[in-house]
Amino acid sequence: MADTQQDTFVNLILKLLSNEEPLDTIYKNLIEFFEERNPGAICSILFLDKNKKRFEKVYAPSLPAFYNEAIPHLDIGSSAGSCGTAAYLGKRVIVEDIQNDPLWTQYRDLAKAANLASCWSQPIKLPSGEVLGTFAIYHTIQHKPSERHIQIIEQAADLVSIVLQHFETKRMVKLAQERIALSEADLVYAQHVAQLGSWKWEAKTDTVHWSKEIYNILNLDPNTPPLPFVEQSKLYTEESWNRLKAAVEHAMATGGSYEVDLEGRASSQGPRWFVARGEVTEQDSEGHPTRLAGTLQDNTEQKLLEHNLKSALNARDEFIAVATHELKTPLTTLQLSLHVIAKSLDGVIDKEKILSKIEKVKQQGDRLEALIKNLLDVTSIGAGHMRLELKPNVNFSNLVENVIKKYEDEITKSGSSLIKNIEPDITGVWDDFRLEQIVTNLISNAIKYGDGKPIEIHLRRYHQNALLEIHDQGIGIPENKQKKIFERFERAVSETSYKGLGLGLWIVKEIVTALKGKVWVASALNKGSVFSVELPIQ
Amino acid sequence: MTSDILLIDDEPDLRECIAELLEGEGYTVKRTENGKTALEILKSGYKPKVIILDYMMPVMDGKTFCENISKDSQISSIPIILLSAANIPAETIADMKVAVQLEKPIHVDKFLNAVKSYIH
Repeated sequence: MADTQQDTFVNLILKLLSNEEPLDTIYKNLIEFFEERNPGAICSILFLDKNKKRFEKVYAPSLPAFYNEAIPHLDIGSSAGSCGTAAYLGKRVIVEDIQNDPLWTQYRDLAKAANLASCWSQPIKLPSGEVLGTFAIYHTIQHKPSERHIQIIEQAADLVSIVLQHFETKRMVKLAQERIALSEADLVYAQHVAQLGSWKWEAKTDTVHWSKEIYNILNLDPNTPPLPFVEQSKLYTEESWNRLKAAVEHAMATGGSYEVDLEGRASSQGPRWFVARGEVTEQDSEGHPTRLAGTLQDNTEQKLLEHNLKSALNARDEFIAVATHELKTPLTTLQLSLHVIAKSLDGVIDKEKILSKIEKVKQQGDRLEALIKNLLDVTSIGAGHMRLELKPNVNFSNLVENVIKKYEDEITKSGSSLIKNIEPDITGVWDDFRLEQIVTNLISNAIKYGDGKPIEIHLRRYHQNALLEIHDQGIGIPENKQKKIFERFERAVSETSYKGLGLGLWIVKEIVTALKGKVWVASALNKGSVFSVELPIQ
Repeated sequence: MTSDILLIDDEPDLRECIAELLEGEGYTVKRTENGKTALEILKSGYKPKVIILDYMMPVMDGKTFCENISKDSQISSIPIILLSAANIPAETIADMKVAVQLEKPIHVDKFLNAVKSYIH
């Protein structure tokens, strides 16, 4: 009987555990099961508090409520009823006659009120010996346990302990899983923020594992499997792939690590750059690498910054070279002229010739002054100090005519002819010095790049704006340079073939912007350019 | 008809100044405004004792001019005095195989000495 009862007991608990029933339900079922099969027996399961001073949990559905409520207020001890003593000593306590047993002296009346006459109590222990509580059987009559009874309560206490340990293990596993999930989430987030993905590669089977961020970085569907190593060739340019392959092969041969800059295959998103790092993390007993691991990082922003910085530096260096040339040329002429003048004072003095030389010197001085002014202008505009001196009734038409007059000689010299169409008396609130800079820069460009062909200058009212158009039929500007030419230090042609600082159009754009207008160019290579400036008339 | 010096510079004022300086020293000077016109003059059989070359010029600059004459041993044997304003990389200068490189503004005595050393 004991064996079959024990077997079904175990079966019941296993069933309850596999159904993932809560602890309370399991204990209640256990007690019900036991009481059903042992008529007259009343079961209780008690658990100690943390300090092991009192019982804090009571499972005893068949005992009267007042009895169960009294238990948590009583201290355990060396003579504290059957359960209190069993828990205190860690030993089984058998009391056959509660009313006459010294262990029950304090609680005799309580037991009498509950109509309890005997109580056998078995401590519930962990394998370490730590006492968790008690499993007890009461009877309403004086009762002496048989061998079988002792066996049953021992095994019942063991089962309760096992159930409790099972729950504790489950709790720990769940906690650990939560922690892992949390740190995994942290890792995913950290990888996302750093734009750095991680990967593993089992070399023998060519099995690749990718973190989520790798998919993000490579712009691939995260629901697709990772690409085997050989297929990753399609991600990068051929040159990049060859370098990566060589680096991986080298790492595998030496057991070392690598870091490679990679350029992505051309895509609609524009150029992409990556940094791949990796190392051998596992080798077999013969020293052959079996696993590599590493990271992939999106480096596009950094590369673009580097690229922009480099081109800005190049533009600046070119500008310095051009500026140096532009400044040194008049300086050299000036210096040589003075030398020639000094020489000619030695012999017969030809006053006319010397005067003409001095005139040349003055011209070179003026040229230097103009260049330096231009340079200073650029530095101050670049630093955000464009000063506008707005005046009412500035006559744009007269201003354009005057600039044309100044350039007439140069236009003739260049072989170009001039067609002008200036609507008279377009006046507005403008800065006349800055307006003159706009017109001067555009006309001198038209002469410089006009290839000796006719130049047209138009000025007219257009809605509430003044529209200035300057046409040439010269070398033109390739489409990819048309935006760039308005940037500082930029020019569409190589600096050695055309003179000038490469600042003219940038200055024009800055002034036009300050005057709340617009400037743009329409051009075709070897056909010429039309520069248009639209300024609001205020 | 030949002269001592072929002067290649696009800046009319500077070109005139250098020419006058050299003519003051008694040399004959032929003037031209860029590498392309200079090449035409040299190809037509004109052979100066020395070439004075500007670096930065429209149409054909000094560097391209040197590349062009390097294939013609007749012309490439003529010593070149290079006048430059900007900082030209040393490798570029080496490639151009010029006899002398002088930076603008020109040190007049150095310049005249250099010219003198190639014209006897």
